[in-house]
Amino acid sequence: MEEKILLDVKNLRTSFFTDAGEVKSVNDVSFYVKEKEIVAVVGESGSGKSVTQLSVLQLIQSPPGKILGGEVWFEGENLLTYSKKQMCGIRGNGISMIFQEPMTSLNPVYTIGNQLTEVLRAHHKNMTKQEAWKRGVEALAAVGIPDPEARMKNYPFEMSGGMRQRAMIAISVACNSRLIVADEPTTALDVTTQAQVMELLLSLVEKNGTSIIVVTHNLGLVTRYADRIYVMYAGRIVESGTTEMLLTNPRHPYTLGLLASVPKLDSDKEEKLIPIEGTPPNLAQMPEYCSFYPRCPYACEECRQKEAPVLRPVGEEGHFMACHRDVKGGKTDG
Amino acid sequence: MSDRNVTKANGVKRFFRIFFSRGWVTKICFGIIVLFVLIAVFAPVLTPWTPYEQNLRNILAGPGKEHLLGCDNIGRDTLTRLLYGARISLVTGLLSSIWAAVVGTTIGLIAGYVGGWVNSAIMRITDAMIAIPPIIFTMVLSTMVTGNLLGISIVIGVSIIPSYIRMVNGLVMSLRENDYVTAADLIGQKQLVIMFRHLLPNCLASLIVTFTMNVGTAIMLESTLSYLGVGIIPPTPAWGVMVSEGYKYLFNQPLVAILPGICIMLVVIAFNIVGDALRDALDPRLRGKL
Amino acid sequence: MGRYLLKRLGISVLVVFLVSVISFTLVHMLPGDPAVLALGSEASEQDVEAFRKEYHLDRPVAEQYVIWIREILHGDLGDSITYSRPVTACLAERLPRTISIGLPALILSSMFGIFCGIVSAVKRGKFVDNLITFVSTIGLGAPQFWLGILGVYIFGMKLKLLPLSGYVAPSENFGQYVYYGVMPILILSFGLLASVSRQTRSNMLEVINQDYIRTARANGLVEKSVVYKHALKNALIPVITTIGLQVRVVVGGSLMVEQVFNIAGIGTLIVSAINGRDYMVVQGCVFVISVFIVLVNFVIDLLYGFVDPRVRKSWR
Repeated sequence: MEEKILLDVKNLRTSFFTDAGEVKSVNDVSFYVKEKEIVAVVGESGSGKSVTQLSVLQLIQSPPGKILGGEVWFEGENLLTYSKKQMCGIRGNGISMIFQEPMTSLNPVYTIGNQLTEVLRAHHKNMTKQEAWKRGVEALAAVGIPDPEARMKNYPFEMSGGMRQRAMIAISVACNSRLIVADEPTTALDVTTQAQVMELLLSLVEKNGTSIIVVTHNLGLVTRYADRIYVMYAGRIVESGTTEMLLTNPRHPYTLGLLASVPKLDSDKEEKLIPIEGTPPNLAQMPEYCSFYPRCPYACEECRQKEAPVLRPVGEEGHFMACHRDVKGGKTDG
Repeated sequence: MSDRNVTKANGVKRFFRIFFSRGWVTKICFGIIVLFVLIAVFAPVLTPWTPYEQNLRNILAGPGKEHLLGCDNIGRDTLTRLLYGARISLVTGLLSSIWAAVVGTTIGLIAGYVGGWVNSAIMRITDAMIAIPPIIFTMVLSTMVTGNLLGISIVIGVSIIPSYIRMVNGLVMSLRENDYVTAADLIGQKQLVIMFRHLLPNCLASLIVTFTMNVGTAIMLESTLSYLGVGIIPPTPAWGVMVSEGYKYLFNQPLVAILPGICIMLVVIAFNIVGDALRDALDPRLRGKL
Repeated sequence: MGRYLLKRLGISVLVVFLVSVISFTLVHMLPGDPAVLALGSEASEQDVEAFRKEYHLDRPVAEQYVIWIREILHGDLGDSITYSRPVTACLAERLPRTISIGLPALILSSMFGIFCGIVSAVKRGKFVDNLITFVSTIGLGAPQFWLGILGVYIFGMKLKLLPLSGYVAPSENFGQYVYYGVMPILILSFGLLASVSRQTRSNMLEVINQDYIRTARANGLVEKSVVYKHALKNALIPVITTIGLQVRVVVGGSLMVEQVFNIAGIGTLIVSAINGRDYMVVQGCVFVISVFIVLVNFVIDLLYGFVDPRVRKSWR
């Protein structure tokens, strides 16, 4: 049973041109999302995981940012060849993005209803105001907002953080996008709300057959929900595979580090959390060799002399990683 | 210890980098200020004439070899009067801003720190002062000091005091909520110590910016008062006085009225732009607030 | 809403009271004896006495203030010493002239300033932006009296397009009013236009970086809607305050413009009253102008509530 590929990103490169030099935020990144699949992109802040998604939707501030190359195939079309106007038809309609700041991501001076119907009518040219209002109420109800009719008339500041996050999701998915990109969807929320928002996103997959990309630094969150995981470090993907492969058989030292720094709730054993040493690299001054070298506990002289490693298949089919060495569960091999 | 020195040096470097990052505009404006300061200091050396020397053969003369920018209606050298005019503008501008800064900051600090009804009272009086247009306010006051440079500076200073009070007060009110002031309060430090040790340094960036901008405002006010005949009075070569005198002979010799205006504009713009650049370099968060 | 308005109103009344105290004190600090100034230095002792009695100048200062306030509450600002007629009559005669110059200037500069600010922000870094920034820098730095004189020289003397000075009321002859008024109005607008456009520009640029603008873009709204619906309303709310504050500047500016173009409005009235030590007129003018400005700021506060739902909520 081969599922169809919905989004296929190939060799995407995005840079920011700052006073300090060119910052290669997305450096030759390729990934894909199949239909009805939940994919997680994991990495520290500054690893380029958010910029990658913004590049897919061409929401990079330019200047200083610029998409330098690559292909973004969505439903058989390369989005990078699209005009600005065509892109507007994709955003919020084909691919939706949900942001991490529910407090500031809604326009403070317009009601929820106003913002919701505006998006609906932007994508459905023939929709009347009454129809849009009705669809809006349905959309709010669908994300579990009680008394949606009244909430339509509320301003964002009149709602709690969780409610705003739901309202924002409602606006983003009102047009039944095929793909939802959730950028740190739960970071600003308390733990109970976090779970509710994730469940809400899961229900969308089941109900509408939507695919979801979850961008997060929280590995613990995604292991429970994601089908596949991409790990990003310093603008590159360093390891990818199914959630199970990465959890049971991580191969890249950085992934190992990430896993070691996450508390395991379902384990009874007292495990020591090990933070990753050092700080994320300065993207404006990237070395020729592996960018994880300065922080890597397994680094050797070879790593410093060879060029930066590229993704290569390891272990089971579908498991890729970018490291000169082959580290298996913390033991070096070869 | 050496670490701190390094960050300090970096801070200074960063300051200059951002200060001049707007390119040649800031550099030129900074240059204009330096130039006018030099002119003010060395005015007697730069010209063979004095600003009061009349030469009836040269009444309203055009630019020439002897008088580079011509002469006014009683044959005084225009260039010389412009050069000496820089002294008056800069001295009143700086004097009034300094005295307003000292008084305004003190009042603002006290009002903001003491709070309560004292604060409300001071702020309402400030509101009332701001409701009176500064030109009218200074015009009425300046009649008491008749043309005296120091007096005019004090009068102009009074009219810009409210801007300091408001700025400092606002900052103090927001800083008071900060933890370190509460912490100092809990330790039991004296209020005065708290005010000067903690609050004043935090206001410094805003103060420097407001001060720079206010020098421009003060120079503008002085020239306006002088133009209206209630500021510096003739024959003293204030730029506003020159515009007012030259207006009568605008048709015969426009340079006398127009050149001083250009000087006022250059100096005021220079102070405004340098103020802008300072704000960006010292504290970008202030953008749009000052 | 009622309580908030009541509180704002209370504060405004308090400020008006303080303004009356300040303008009274200010005027009584003026040097020179108004009686001597009005009657001439050769006036007899009796005449001076009578004059002082008539204008209550023989009473203690505090009592003079109470008398003045009592009369204000009856709609009387006292009598002008130089013109020998009620101050209210002087104001009634001159106010329309000042308004006919000041109001068009305020409206023109607000509208055009907002427009320039938006264009500047949208075309950031382009030629238009640089041009607008350059012009508004000059607008903020050039003295208005000098701009007036420059205008007179260029358009009046050299190009002979506009009159050198003078004024015609719009009710009298509208064409002539425009002909005489265009230069004073434009020059008065210039400074205000500059500050409004600067404020609009920087607000727009700040708002454009907000999260909700990114959300609007991510939801597929076209750039036009993002800029003119989502960004503009947020950017313009603070501009209202700027315009309110600038009323003060327009009042001050009209004083200079009236002086340059020889328009017999409030500005020239104040200047001559100060030079003539006409206590009552100065006091009355300063008071009326300040009350007007306080009133404008009160209205601005109300306006805020209508455009900003967050403020409106705090009224409840």
